Amino acid sequence: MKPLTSSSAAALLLATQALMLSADTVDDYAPGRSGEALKNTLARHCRPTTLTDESAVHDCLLDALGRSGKVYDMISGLRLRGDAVSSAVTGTVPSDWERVSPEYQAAIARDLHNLLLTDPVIALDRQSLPFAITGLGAGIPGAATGISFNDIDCIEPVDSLKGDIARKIFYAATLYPCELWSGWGRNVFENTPYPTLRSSWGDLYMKWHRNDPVSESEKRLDATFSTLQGNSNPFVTHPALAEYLWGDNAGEIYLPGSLPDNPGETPPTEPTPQEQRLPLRAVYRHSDRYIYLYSPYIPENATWTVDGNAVTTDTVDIATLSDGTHELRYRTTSSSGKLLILIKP
Amino acid sequence: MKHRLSPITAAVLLCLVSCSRDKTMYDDPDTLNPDGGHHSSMPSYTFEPELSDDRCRFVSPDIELYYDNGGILFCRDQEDGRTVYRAVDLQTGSEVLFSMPAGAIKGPVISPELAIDGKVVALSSATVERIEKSGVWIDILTPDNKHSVLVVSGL
Repeated sequence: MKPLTSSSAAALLLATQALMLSADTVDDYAPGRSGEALKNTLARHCRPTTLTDESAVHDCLLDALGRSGKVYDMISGLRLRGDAVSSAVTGTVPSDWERVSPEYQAAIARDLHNLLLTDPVIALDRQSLPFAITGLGAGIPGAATGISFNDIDCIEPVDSLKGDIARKIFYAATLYPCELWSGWGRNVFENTPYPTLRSSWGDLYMKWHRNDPVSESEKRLDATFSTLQGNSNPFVTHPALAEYLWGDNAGEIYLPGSLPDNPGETPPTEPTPQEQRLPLRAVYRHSDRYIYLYSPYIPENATWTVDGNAVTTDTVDIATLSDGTHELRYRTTSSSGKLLILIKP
Repeated sequence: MKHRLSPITAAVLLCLVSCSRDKTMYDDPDTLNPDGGHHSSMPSYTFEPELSDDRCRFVSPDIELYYDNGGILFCRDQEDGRTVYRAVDLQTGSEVLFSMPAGAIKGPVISPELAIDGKVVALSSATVERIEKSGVWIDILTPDNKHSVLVVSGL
Protein backbone atom coordinates (compact mmCIF):
# COMPACT_ATOMS: atom_id res chain seq x y z
CA MET A 1 0.00 0.00 0.00
CA LYS A 2 1.38 3.36 -0.99
CA PRO A 3 1.45 5.85 1.85
CA LEU A 4 -0.66 8.95 1.51
CA THR A 5 1.55 11.49 -0.21
CA SER A 6 1.49 15.09 0.79
CA SER A 7 0.16 16.04 -2.65
CA SER A 8 -2.70 13.58 -2.52
CA ALA A 9 -3.52 14.61 1.04
CA ALA A 10 -3.55 18.19 -0.10
CA ALA A 11 -5.82 17.26 -3.00
CA LEU A 12 -8.26 15.56 -0.64
CA LEU A 13 -8.28 18.52 1.70
CA LEU A 14 -8.83 20.73 -1.30
CA ALA A 15 -11.82 18.60 -2.24
CA THR A 16 -13.24 18.96 1.25
CA GLN A 17 -12.71 22.68 1.16
CA ALA A 18 -13.72 23.32 -2.42
CA LEU A 19 -17.36 23.66 -1.53
CA MET A 20 -16.65 25.80 1.50
CA LEU A 21 -15.64 28.80 -0.54
CA SER A 22 -19.05 30.28 -1.01
CA ALA A 23 -20.48 33.74 -0.66
CA ASP A 24 -21.56 33.33 2.95
CA THR A 25 -19.95 30.42 4.71
CA VAL A 26 -21.97 30.86 7.90
CA ASP A 27 -25.34 30.94 6.16
CA ASP A 28 -24.37 27.95 4.04
CA TYR A 29 -23.27 25.64 6.83
CA ALA A 30 -24.62 26.84 10.18
CA PRO A 31 -28.42 26.84 9.68
CA GLY A 32 -30.15 23.89 11.28
CA ARG A 33 -27.40 23.30 13.82
CA SER A 34 -27.29 24.12 17.51
CA GLY A 35 -25.01 24.07 20.53
CA GLU A 36 -21.79 22.11 20.12
CA ALA A 37 -22.59 21.18 16.51
CA LEU A 38 -23.09 24.85 15.64
CA LYS A 39 -19.84 25.82 17.36
CA ASN A 40 -17.95 22.99 15.64
CA THR A 41 -19.37 24.05 12.29
CA LEU A 42 -18.08 27.58 12.78
CA ALA A 43 -14.74 26.21 13.97
CA ARG A 44 -14.38 24.13 10.85
CA HIS A 45 -15.66 26.50 8.17
CA CYS A 46 -14.53 29.90 9.48
CA ARG A 47 -10.81 29.24 9.90
CA PRO A 48 -8.12 31.48 8.42
CA THR A 49 -6.63 30.17 5.22
CA THR A 50 -3.30 31.88 5.79
CA LEU A 51 -1.77 33.38 8.90
CA THR A 52 0.49 36.39 9.04
CA ASP A 53 4.06 35.77 10.09
CA GLU A 54 4.41 36.57 13.80
CA SER A 55 7.08 39.15 13.07
CA ALA A 56 4.67 41.00 10.77
CA VAL A 57 1.49 41.05 12.86
CA HIS A 58 2.25 44.44 14.39
CA ASP A 59 2.62 46.11 10.99
CA CYS A 60 -0.48 44.31 9.71
CA LEU A 61 -2.57 45.57 12.62
CA LEU A 62 -1.22 49.07 12.25
CA ASP A 63 -1.92 49.06 8.53
CA ALA A 64 -5.40 47.57 8.99
CA LEU A 65 -6.35 50.17 11.59
CA GLY A 66 -5.07 52.88 9.28
CA ARG A 67 -7.14 51.53 6.41
CA SER A 68 -10.26 51.36 8.60
CA GLY A 69 -9.92 55.06 9.33
CA LYS A 70 -8.27 55.54 12.73
CA VAL A 71 -5.17 54.22 14.49
CA TYR A 72 -6.34 53.75 18.05
CA ASP A 73 -5.48 51.75 21.13
CA MET A 74 -7.75 48.72 20.88
CA ILE A 75 -8.16 48.51 24.68
CA SER A 76 -8.41 52.14 25.81
CA GLY A 77 -9.89 53.53 22.61
CA LEU A 78 -7.48 56.48 22.82
CA ARG A 79 -5.35 57.55 19.93
CA LEU A 80 -2.06 55.69 20.29
CA ARG A 81 0.43 57.85 22.12
CA GLY A 82 3.47 59.18 20.38
CA ASP A 83 4.80 57.02 17.64
CA ALA A 84 2.23 54.31 16.85
CA VAL A 85 5.06 52.23 15.45
CA SER A 86 6.24 51.58 18.98
CA SER A 87 2.85 50.25 20.07
CA ALA A 88 2.55 46.71 21.39
CA VAL A 89 0.55 43.66 20.29
CA THR A 90 -1.38 41.62 22.83
CA GLY A 91 -3.71 38.69 22.34
CA THR A 92 -7.32 39.04 23.45
CA VAL A 93 -6.79 35.43 24.39
CA PRO A 94 -3.04 35.37 25.15
CA SER A 95 -1.18 32.56 23.47
CA ASP A 96 0.23 31.31 26.78
CA TRP A 97 -3.30 30.32 27.81
CA GLU A 98 -3.05 27.74 25.02
CA ARG A 99 0.32 26.40 26.20
CA VAL A 100 -0.91 22.81 26.27
CA SER A 101 -1.85 22.92 22.60
CA PRO A 102 1.25 24.04 20.67
CA GLU A 103 -0.60 24.11 17.35
CA TYR A 104 -3.29 26.47 18.68
CA GLN A 105 -0.74 28.44 20.68
CA ALA A 106 1.22 29.21 17.53
CA ALA A 107 -1.87 30.01 15.47
CA ILE A 108 -3.63 32.27 17.97
CA ALA A 109 -0.51 34.43 18.26
CA ARG A 110 -0.75 35.11 14.51
CA ASP A 111 -4.51 35.32 14.07
CA LEU A 112 -5.35 38.98 13.48
CA HIS A 113 -8.93 38.53 14.72
CA ASN A 114 -7.52 37.70 18.16
CA LEU A 115 -4.91 40.42 18.36
CA LEU A 116 -5.02 43.94 19.76
CA LEU A 117 -2.74 46.88 19.13
CA THR A 118 -2.24 48.82 22.34
CA ASP A 119 -0.03 51.20 24.24
CA PRO A 120 3.10 49.38 25.50
CA VAL A 121 2.34 50.50 29.07
CA ILE A 122 -1.14 48.99 28.93
CA ALA A 123 0.28 45.81 27.42
CA LEU A 124 2.79 45.65 30.26
CA ASP A 125 0.12 46.23 32.88
CA ARG A 126 -2.13 43.70 31.32
CA GLN A 127 0.41 40.92 30.79
CA SER A 128 -2.03 38.07 30.27
CA LEU A 129 -4.86 39.15 32.55
CA PRO A 130 -8.38 38.43 31.32
CA PHE A 131 -10.75 41.16 30.22
CA ALA A 132 -13.50 41.86 32.73
CA ILE A 133 -14.84 44.56 35.05
CA THR A 134 -12.32 46.04 37.41
CA GLY A 135 -14.79 47.87 39.61
CA LEU A 136 -13.01 51.14 38.87
CA GLY A 137 -15.54 52.05 36.24
CA ALA A 138 -15.32 51.96 32.53
CA GLY A 139 -12.61 53.65 30.60
CA ILE A 140 -9.77 53.16 33.02
CA PRO A 141 -7.87 50.52 31.20
CA GLY A 142 -4.82 48.94 32.62
CA ALA A 143 -5.75 49.80 36.19
CA ALA A 144 -6.55 46.24 37.00
CA THR A 145 -4.09 45.12 39.59
CA GLY A 146 -5.74 43.87 42.74
CA ILE A 147 -9.21 44.60 41.42
CA SER A 148 -11.35 41.62 40.79
CA PHE A 149 -14.04 39.94 38.78
CA ASN A 150 -14.90 36.57 40.24
CA ASP A 151 -12.05 37.28 42.68
CA ILE A 152 -9.31 37.37 40.08
CA ASP A 153 -7.27 40.19 38.64
CA CYS A 154 -8.44 41.53 35.35
CA ILE A 155 -8.31 44.45 32.94
CA GLU A 156 -11.28 46.50 31.79
CA PRO A 157 -11.44 48.01 28.30
CA VAL A 158 -13.28 51.21 27.47
CA ASP A 159 -17.05 50.75 27.11
CA SER A 160 -17.04 51.50 23.39
CA LEU A 161 -14.67 48.57 22.73
CA LYS A 162 -16.12 45.99 25.12
CA GLY A 163 -18.30 44.47 22.41
CA ASP A 164 -15.34 44.27 20.02
CA ILE A 165 -13.31 42.42 22.64
CA ALA A 166 -16.21 40.10 23.56
CA ARG A 167 -16.58 39.09 19.91
CA LYS A 168 -12.83 38.38 19.69
CA ILE A 169 -13.15 36.16 22.77
CA PHE A 170 -16.13 34.35 21.19
CA TYR A 171 -13.97 33.86 18.10
CA ALA A 172 -11.04 32.44 20.07
CA ALA A 173 -13.31 30.19 22.15
CA THR A 174 -14.80 28.84 18.94
CA LEU A 175 -11.72 28.37 16.78
CA TYR A 176 -9.15 27.53 19.44
CA PRO A 177 -10.92 25.62 22.24
CA CYS A 178 -7.98 24.31 24.24
CA GLU A 179 -8.42 20.90 25.83
CA LEU A 180 -6.57 22.08 28.91
CA TRP A 181 -6.38 25.83 29.44
CA SER A 182 -3.35 27.36 31.12
CA GLY A 183 -2.76 30.46 33.26
CA TRP A 184 -5.66 32.88 33.66
CA GLY A 185 -7.38 31.05 30.83
CA ARG A 186 -8.42 28.40 33.35
CA ASN A 187 -10.60 30.98 35.06
CA VAL A 188 -12.30 32.19 31.90
CA PHE A 189 -12.65 28.94 29.99
CA GLU A 190 -13.53 25.39 30.88
CA ASN A 191 -11.96 22.36 29.22
CA THR A 192 -14.99 21.48 27.15
CA PRO A 193 -15.72 21.69 23.42
CA TYR A 194 -18.90 23.58 24.31
CA PRO A 195 -19.76 25.99 25.80
CA THR A 196 -16.00 26.45 26.54
CA LEU A 197 -16.68 29.83 28.16
CA ARG A 198 -17.50 29.50 31.85
CA SER A 199 -21.05 30.66 32.47
CA SER A 200 -20.31 33.81 34.48
CA TRP A 201 -17.73 34.92 31.91
CA GLY A 202 -20.07 34.03 29.05
CA ASP A 203 -22.77 36.16 30.68
CA LEU A 204 -20.36 39.07 31.09
CA TYR A 205 -19.17 38.96 27.49
CA MET A 206 -22.72 38.57 26.18
CA LYS A 207 -23.60 41.72 28.09
CA TRP A 208 -20.67 43.52 26.46
CA HIS A 209 -21.69 42.11 23.08
CA ARG A 210 -25.26 43.40 23.44
CA ASN A 211 -24.37 46.79 24.90
CA ASP A 212 -21.71 47.53 22.30
CA PRO A 213 -23.06 46.22 18.97
CA VAL A 214 -20.96 45.81 15.86
CA SER A 215 -20.00 49.23 14.50
CA GLU A 216 -19.16 50.20 10.96
CA SER A 217 -15.48 50.63 11.86
CA GLU A 218 -15.42 47.13 13.38
CA LYS A 219 -16.94 45.76 10.17
CA ARG A 220 -14.32 47.57 8.09
CA LEU A 221 -11.52 46.19 10.25
CA ASP A 222 -12.98 42.69 9.97
CA ALA A 223 -13.14 43.02 6.19
CA THR A 224 -9.49 44.08 6.11
CA PHE A 225 -8.46 41.10 8.24
CA SER A 226 -10.53 38.88 5.99
CA THR A 227 -8.56 40.11 2.98
CA LEU A 228 -5.28 39.43 4.78
CA GLN A 229 -5.96 35.99 6.25
CA GLY A 230 -9.01 34.68 4.37
CA ASN A 231 -11.63 34.60 7.10
CA SER A 232 -13.99 36.88 8.96
CA ASN A 233 -14.91 36.74 12.60
CA PRO A 234 -18.36 35.12 12.30
CA PHE A 235 -19.51 36.98 15.43
CA VAL A 236 -18.86 40.27 13.64
CA THR A 237 -20.50 39.29 10.35
CA HIS A 238 -23.34 37.37 12.08
CA PRO A 239 -23.63 38.86 15.58
CA ALA A 240 -26.78 36.86 16.37
CA LEU A 241 -24.69 33.67 16.44
CA ALA A 242 -23.48 34.57 19.94
CA GLU A 243 -27.06 34.43 21.25
CA TYR A 244 -27.39 30.87 19.90
CA LEU A 245 -24.17 29.74 21.58
CA TRP A 246 -24.00 31.65 24.87
CA GLY A 247 -27.03 33.91 25.04
CA ASP A 248 -30.80 33.78 25.28
CA ASN A 249 -31.13 31.31 22.39
CA ALA A 250 -28.40 28.92 23.55
CA GLY A 251 -29.25 25.37 22.48
CA GLU A 252 -31.76 26.48 19.84
CA ILE A 253 -31.32 25.70 16.18
CA TYR A 254 -29.67 28.57 14.34
CA LEU A 255 -31.73 30.07 11.54
CA PRO A 256 -30.26 33.22 9.99
CA GLY A 257 -32.58 36.19 9.91
CA SER A 258 -34.72 35.03 12.82
CA LEU A 259 -33.03 37.52 15.16
CA PRO A 260 -31.84 41.06 14.46
CA ASP A 261 -28.10 41.20 13.81
CA ASN A 262 -27.59 43.58 16.69
CA PRO A 263 -29.70 44.05 19.81
CA GLY A 264 -31.94 47.07 19.53
CA GLU A 265 -32.12 46.89 15.77
CA THR A 266 -35.47 46.44 14.07
CA PRO A 267 -36.20 42.73 13.60
CA PRO A 268 -35.87 41.72 9.98
CA THR A 269 -39.00 41.88 7.88
CA GLU A 270 -40.27 38.51 6.71
CA PRO A 271 -38.07 37.55 3.79
CA THR A 272 -39.32 36.26 0.49
CA PRO A 273 -38.68 32.56 -0.20
CA GLN A 274 -35.72 33.48 -2.39
CA GLU A 275 -34.21 35.76 0.25
CA GLN A 276 -34.68 33.09 2.91
CA ARG A 277 -32.93 30.36 0.93
CA LEU A 278 -31.74 28.03 3.67
CA PRO A 279 -29.66 24.93 3.04
CA LEU A 280 -31.14 21.45 3.38
CA ARG A 281 -31.32 20.12 6.90
CA ALA A 282 -32.45 16.99 8.69
CA VAL A 283 -35.70 18.11 10.30
CA TYR A 284 -38.43 20.49 9.15
CA ARG A 285 -41.65 21.74 10.66
CA HIS A 286 -44.70 22.90 8.77
CA SER A 287 -44.01 26.40 10.03
CA ASP A 288 -40.83 26.35 7.91
CA ARG A 289 -43.11 26.55 4.85
CA TYR A 290 -40.46 25.60 2.28
CA ILE A 291 -37.71 23.11 1.69
CA TYR A 292 -35.00 24.74 -0.38
CA LEU A 293 -33.35 22.21 -2.67
CA TYR A 294 -29.97 23.64 -2.01
CA SER A 295 -26.92 22.64 -0.01
CA PRO A 296 -23.27 23.69 -0.07
CA TYR A 297 -22.47 19.98 -0.49
CA ILE A 298 -24.51 19.65 -3.70
CA PRO A 299 -23.87 21.18 -7.15
CA GLU A 300 -26.22 24.03 -8.06
CA ASN A 301 -27.30 22.44 -11.35
CA ALA A 302 -28.75 19.28 -9.79
CA THR A 303 -32.13 17.86 -10.78
CA TRP A 304 -34.26 16.62 -7.92
CA THR A 305 -36.89 14.12 -6.96
CA VAL A 306 -38.87 13.99 -3.75
CA ASP A 307 -40.22 10.54 -2.90
CA GLY A 308 -39.54 9.56 -6.51
CA ASN A 309 -41.45 12.48 -8.03
CA ALA A 310 -39.53 14.96 -10.17
CA VAL A 311 -39.35 18.51 -8.86
CA THR A 312 -38.94 21.31 -11.38
CA THR A 313 -38.66 24.26 -8.97
CA ASP A 314 -35.94 24.95 -6.42
CA THR A 315 -38.35 24.89 -3.49
CA VAL A 316 -40.86 22.37 -2.18
CA ASP A 317 -43.92 23.61 -0.30
CA ILE A 318 -43.92 21.66 2.96
CA ALA A 319 -47.72 21.79 3.00
CA THR A 320 -47.67 19.34 0.07
CA LEU A 321 -45.84 16.72 2.15
CA SER A 322 -47.20 14.65 5.00
CA ASP A 323 -45.60 14.42 8.41
CA GLY A 324 -42.89 11.77 8.58
CA THR A 325 -39.89 10.76 6.53
CA HIS A 326 -39.33 11.72 2.90
CA GLU A 327 -36.52 10.88 0.52
CA LEU A 328 -34.79 13.56 -1.55
CA ARG A 329 -32.55 12.53 -4.41
CA TYR A 330 -30.47 14.60 -6.80
CA ARG A 331 -28.43 13.97 -9.89
CA THR A 332 -26.07 15.84 -12.18
CA THR A 333 -23.90 14.55 -15.01
CA SER A 334 -21.11 13.76 -12.55
CA SER A 335 -22.74 13.29 -9.18
CA SER A 336 -25.72 11.84 -7.39
CA GLY A 337 -26.93 11.64 -3.83
CA LYS A 338 -29.79 11.06 -1.48
CA LEU A 339 -31.08 12.22 1.88
CA LEU A 340 -33.90 11.33 4.25
CA ILE A 341 -35.59 14.30 5.91
CA LEU A 342 -38.17 14.31 8.69
CA ILE A 343 -41.19 16.59 8.68
CA LYS A 344 -42.77 17.29 12.05
CA PRO A 345 -46.12 18.95 12.74
CA MET B 1 -23.03 -50.01 28.20
CA LYS B 2 -20.87 -47.33 29.71
CA HIS B 3 -18.01 -45.76 27.71
CA ARG B 4 -15.23 -44.20 29.69
CA LEU B 5 -12.14 -42.45 28.39
CA SER B 6 -8.98 -43.74 29.82
CA PRO B 7 -6.65 -41.08 31.29
CA ILE B 8 -4.16 -41.75 28.50
CA THR B 9 -6.78 -41.30 25.73
CA ALA B 10 -7.98 -38.07 27.33
CA ALA B 11 -4.44 -36.70 27.51
CA VAL B 12 -3.83 -37.56 23.83
CA LEU B 13 -7.10 -35.86 22.78
CA LEU B 14 -6.32 -32.74 24.78
CA CYS B 15 -2.90 -32.57 23.21
CA LEU B 16 -4.41 -32.89 19.72
CA VAL B 17 -6.95 -30.13 20.39
CA SER B 18 -4.24 -27.91 21.78
CA CYS B 19 -1.98 -28.50 18.76
CA SER B 20 -4.87 -27.91 16.37
CA ARG B 21 -5.71 -24.48 17.94
CA ASP B 22 -2.08 -23.41 17.73
CA LYS B 23 -1.90 -24.35 14.09
CA THR B 24 -5.09 -22.47 13.20
CA MET B 25 -3.88 -19.29 14.87
CA TYR B 26 -0.50 -19.53 13.23
CA ASP B 27 -2.03 -19.91 9.77
CA ASP B 28 -4.40 -16.95 10.05
CA PRO B 29 -2.61 -14.02 8.39
CA ASP B 30 -4.88 -11.58 10.24
CA THR B 31 -3.25 -12.61 13.49
CA LEU B 32 0.34 -12.28 12.34
CA ASN B 33 2.65 -9.40 13.07
CA PRO B 34 4.77 -8.10 10.19
CA ASP B 35 7.72 -9.98 11.72
CA GLY B 36 5.76 -13.21 11.73
CA GLY B 37 4.87 -13.19 15.41
CA HIS B 38 1.38 -13.38 16.85
CA HIS B 39 -0.95 -10.58 17.85
CA SER B 40 -1.81 -12.28 21.08
CA SER B 41 -4.94 -10.25 21.80
CA MET B 42 -6.13 -9.28 18.33
CA PRO B 43 -9.35 -10.98 17.28
CA SER B 44 -9.60 -12.04 13.67
CA TYR B 45 -11.74 -9.79 11.51
CA THR B 46 -14.18 -10.72 8.81
CA PHE B 47 -16.02 -8.37 6.47
CA GLU B 48 -18.49 -11.12 5.56
CA PRO B 49 -21.45 -9.86 7.64
CA GLU B 50 -21.17 -6.41 6.06
CA LEU B 51 -21.74 -7.79 2.57
CA SER B 52 -25.26 -8.93 3.33
CA ASP B 53 -26.22 -5.49 4.66
CA ASP B 54 -26.90 -2.99 1.89
CA ARG B 55 -27.68 0.02 4.07
CA CYS B 56 -25.70 3.13 3.15
CA ARG B 57 -23.33 3.69 6.05
CA PHE B 58 -19.92 4.66 7.30
CA VAL B 59 -18.95 2.90 10.49
CA SER B 60 -15.59 3.48 12.16
CA PRO B 61 -14.44 3.25 15.77
CA ASP B 62 -15.00 7.02 16.07
CA ILE B 63 -18.03 7.83 13.96
CA GLU B 64 -21.15 6.06 12.71
CA LEU B 65 -23.31 7.51 9.95
CA TYR B 66 -26.32 5.47 8.86
CA TYR B 67 -28.48 6.72 6.01
CA ASP B 68 -31.56 5.11 7.54
CA ASN B 69 -31.29 7.32 10.62
CA GLY B 70 -32.23 10.33 8.50
CA GLY B 71 -30.48 13.63 8.00
CA ILE B 72 -27.38 11.97 6.55
CA LEU B 73 -26.55 13.01 3.00
CA PHE B 74 -24.82 10.28 0.99
CA CYS B 75 -23.42 11.25 -2.37
CA ARG B 76 -21.00 10.19 -5.06
CA ASP B 77 -19.03 12.55 -7.29
CA GLN B 78 -16.74 11.94 -10.22
CA GLU B 79 -13.85 14.39 -10.00
CA ASP B 80 -10.62 14.36 -12.00
CA GLY B 81 -10.59 10.64 -12.65
CA ARG B 82 -11.54 9.75 -9.10
CA THR B 83 -14.75 8.70 -7.44
CA VAL B 84 -15.46 10.59 -4.25
CA TYR B 85 -17.98 9.26 -1.75
CA ARG B 86 -19.26 11.70 0.84
CA ALA B 87 -21.44 11.21 3.91
CA VAL B 88 -22.53 14.31 5.82
CA ASP B 89 -24.60 14.50 8.98
CA LEU B 90 -26.57 17.67 8.30
CA GLN B 91 -27.44 18.09 11.96
CA THR B 92 -23.91 17.93 13.38
CA GLY B 93 -21.80 18.76 10.33
CA SER B 94 -19.76 15.56 10.73
CA GLU B 95 -18.42 14.67 7.32
CA VAL B 96 -16.66 11.65 5.86
CA LEU B 97 -15.01 11.79 2.47
CA PHE B 98 -13.50 8.75 0.76
CA SER B 99 -11.81 8.96 -2.59
CA MET B 100 -10.47 6.28 -4.95
CA PRO B 101 -9.63 6.01 -8.65
CA ALA B 102 -12.70 5.92 -10.89
CA GLY B 103 -13.51 2.52 -12.35
CA ALA B 104 -12.21 0.58 -9.36
CA ILE B 105 -12.89 -3.13 -9.34
CA LYS B 106 -13.15 -5.66 -6.55
CA GLY B 107 -9.90 -5.92 -4.64
CA PRO B 108 -7.31 -3.59 -3.11
CA VAL B 109 -7.76 0.10 -3.87
CA ILE B 110 -4.78 1.99 -5.26
CA SER B 111 -4.16 5.31 -3.47
CA PRO B 112 -7.30 5.44 -1.34
CA GLU B 113 -7.89 8.65 0.61
CA LEU B 114 -10.07 9.25 3.64
CA ALA B 115 -10.87 12.49 5.45
CA ILE B 116 -13.08 12.80 8.50
CA ASP B 117 -14.28 16.25 9.49
CA GLY B 118 -11.74 17.81 7.17
CA LYS B 119 -8.77 15.92 8.57
CA VAL B 120 -6.94 13.40 6.40
CA VAL B 121 -6.80 9.94 7.98
CA ALA B 122 -3.74 7.78 7.34
CA LEU B 123 -4.68 4.41 5.84
CA SER B 124 -2.98 1.04 5.71
CA SER B 125 -5.28 -0.25 3.01
CA ALA B 126 -8.71 -0.09 1.51
CA THR B 127 -10.35 -3.00 -0.24
CA VAL B 128 -13.43 -3.06 -2.42
CA GLU B 129 -15.09 -6.19 -1.10
CA ARG B 130 -18.13 -5.96 -3.33
CA ILE B 131 -18.99 -3.67 -6.21
CA GLU B 132 -21.96 -3.68 -8.51
CA LYS B 133 -24.17 -1.21 -10.28
CA SER B 134 -26.23 -0.63 -7.15
CA GLY B 135 -23.37 0.13 -4.83
CA VAL B 136 -19.98 -0.48 -3.32
CA TRP B 137 -18.80 -2.13 -0.10
CA ILE B 138 -15.37 -1.02 1.10
CA ASP B 139 -13.23 -2.28 3.97
CA ILE B 140 -10.88 0.44 5.22
CA LEU B 141 -7.94 -0.39 7.49
CA THR B 142 -5.96 2.18 9.48
CA PRO B 143 -2.40 1.67 10.72
CA ASP B 144 -3.66 0.86 14.22
CA ASN B 145 -5.40 -2.21 12.72
CA LYS B 146 -8.87 -0.73 13.08
CA HIS B 147 -11.42 -1.42 10.37
CA SER B 148 -14.00 0.99 9.01
CA VAL B 149 -16.85 0.11 6.72
CA LEU B 150 -18.13 2.29 3.91
CA VAL B 151 -21.21 1.17 2.00
CA VAL B 152 -22.78 3.45 -0.57
CA SER B 153 -25.68 1.83 -2.35
CA GLY B 154 -28.81 2.77 -4.22
CA LEU B 155 -27.50 5.97 -5.77
